[in-house]
Amino acid sequence: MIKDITIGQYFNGKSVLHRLDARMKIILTVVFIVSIFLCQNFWSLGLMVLFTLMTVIVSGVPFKMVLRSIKPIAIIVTFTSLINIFYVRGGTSLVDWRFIHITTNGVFTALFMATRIVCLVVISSMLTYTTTPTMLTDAIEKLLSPLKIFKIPVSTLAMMMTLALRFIPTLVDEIDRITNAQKARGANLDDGNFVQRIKALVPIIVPLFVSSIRRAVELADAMDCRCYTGGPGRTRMKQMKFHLRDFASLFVILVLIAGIVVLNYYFGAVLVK
Amino acid sequence: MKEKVIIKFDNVSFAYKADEGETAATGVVDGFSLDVPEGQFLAVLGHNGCGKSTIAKLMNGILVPDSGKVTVDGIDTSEDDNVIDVRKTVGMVFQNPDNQIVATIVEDDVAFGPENLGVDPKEIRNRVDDALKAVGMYEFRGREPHRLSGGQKQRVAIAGVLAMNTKCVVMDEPTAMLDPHGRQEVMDTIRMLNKERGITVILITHYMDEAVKADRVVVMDNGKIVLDGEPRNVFKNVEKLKALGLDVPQATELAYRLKKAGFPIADDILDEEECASAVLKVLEVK
Repeated sequence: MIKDITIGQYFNGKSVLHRLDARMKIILTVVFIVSIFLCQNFWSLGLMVLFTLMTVIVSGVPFKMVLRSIKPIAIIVTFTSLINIFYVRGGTSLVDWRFIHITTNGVFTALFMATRIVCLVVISSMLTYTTTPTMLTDAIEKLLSPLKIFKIPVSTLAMMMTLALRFIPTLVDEIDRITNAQKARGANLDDGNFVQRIKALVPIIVPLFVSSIRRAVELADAMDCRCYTGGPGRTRMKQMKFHLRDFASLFVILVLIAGIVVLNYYFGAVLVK
Repeated sequence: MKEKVIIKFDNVSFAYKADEGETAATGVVDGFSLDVPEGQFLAVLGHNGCGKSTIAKLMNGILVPDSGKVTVDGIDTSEDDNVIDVRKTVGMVFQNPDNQIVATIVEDDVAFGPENLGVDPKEIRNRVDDALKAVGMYEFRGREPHRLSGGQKQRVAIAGVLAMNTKCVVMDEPTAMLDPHGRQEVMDTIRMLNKERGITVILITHYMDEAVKADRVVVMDNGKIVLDGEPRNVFKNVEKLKALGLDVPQATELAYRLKKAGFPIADDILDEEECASAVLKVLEVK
């Protein structure tokens, strides 16, 4: 059962989005997040929503999975929307009853915020759905490599990330084993109040730390044996190459931004000052 | 013509630094000398704490001797500048497969060694494919290591060493954590490396039936070599091995007991087949 866990939330597929260069995908995601804050009216926002939907469809990731990624932010979205509805003033008044004042501006801001957050989360989860963790760390390493000028050990950090990902399933296995061992000795992990249950975790966490440190020492030896120095002169088997489709995707996002600017200009801002 | 020696221990001593108030009694190596000729399949036997893992770590410079000298292909392992050259010559496979796989995808892990050596990407691809095919894990190249069995993980680890094109592989109890099936897979792979690729193999183990397959067996006790020779000659010394806390292969044990009981049977029997025919001979005489 434990063996089946997937690292990250990669969804195996063969769509264009899957085949895009991971570096380009990270850049595009950042550009998209910035441009979503450029929208000033419902037309340009609608364009963004349309684009987000298109991305989901093209990726081939089932809608169910996408909805699952929105679930955890549902509370935040509701909360910010409510605050916006009640506190933002301006425009025509809709409700004016005792201490409750709702205005068109408030409703619009709430709608805007909710849509923005949802689009943002959906697009960023599209990145993790269509890119393996390994590709992501490699891409981050490449994108951050200019920081080497400031003596930031980018490749070492990337190696740390890869190792952390690599050891998640191993440690999950280990926790499982230790839990069973402690249960076999009569440890009660499921009953009691909050404090008692936290305390019950100590006999699991301590052996976990001990074994992790032991693993780290062995791993360090193994990496030494394979000539890892952490220094320069390392090559990579998988070279990242930009293809035509990467530039095409960049073009699409630029067109999208142009669309937003044009729609903003034609229809004006929806919020009244 | 004399065979070329690839790993040479010259009167090597080593002791782990003890913490205050403790004595580091285990894993000590004391006045250890050993020549390993190129292409040999050497098995090192010994009970726990006899120093066999220590000599494995001395072979590629993870540890350096307190006194004496270890040379690998003529290179002194105690010089810091030589460490990469030493490790390019001697690869190492450890006991726990989980603690030596560094990447989240099989082929990336195999590529780790050559990447560290700065090999050209195309060449790495060739080496990785070749190494994975050699250990029979090519179909698994895109898998995640944690979904593989222990034997498969260990074969990936061996492929990782192969891809570095080392002349020599040191294995520190590579089968200790595996089930019988995985152990068989790994042993077959090790034999293939030695016979088909001419790689020098040093197998540290406490399984007698693995040692039987080697060209030469060295038995260690208290950091010293107590027996050294072909498996046939080493396992003859049943009483001595038992005194050291070691077992002998079951077939050898049977022959030994039969002989003790007065049957005229040879004392250099290693496996079931030999044992069966020897017993048959005894029965025919009667």
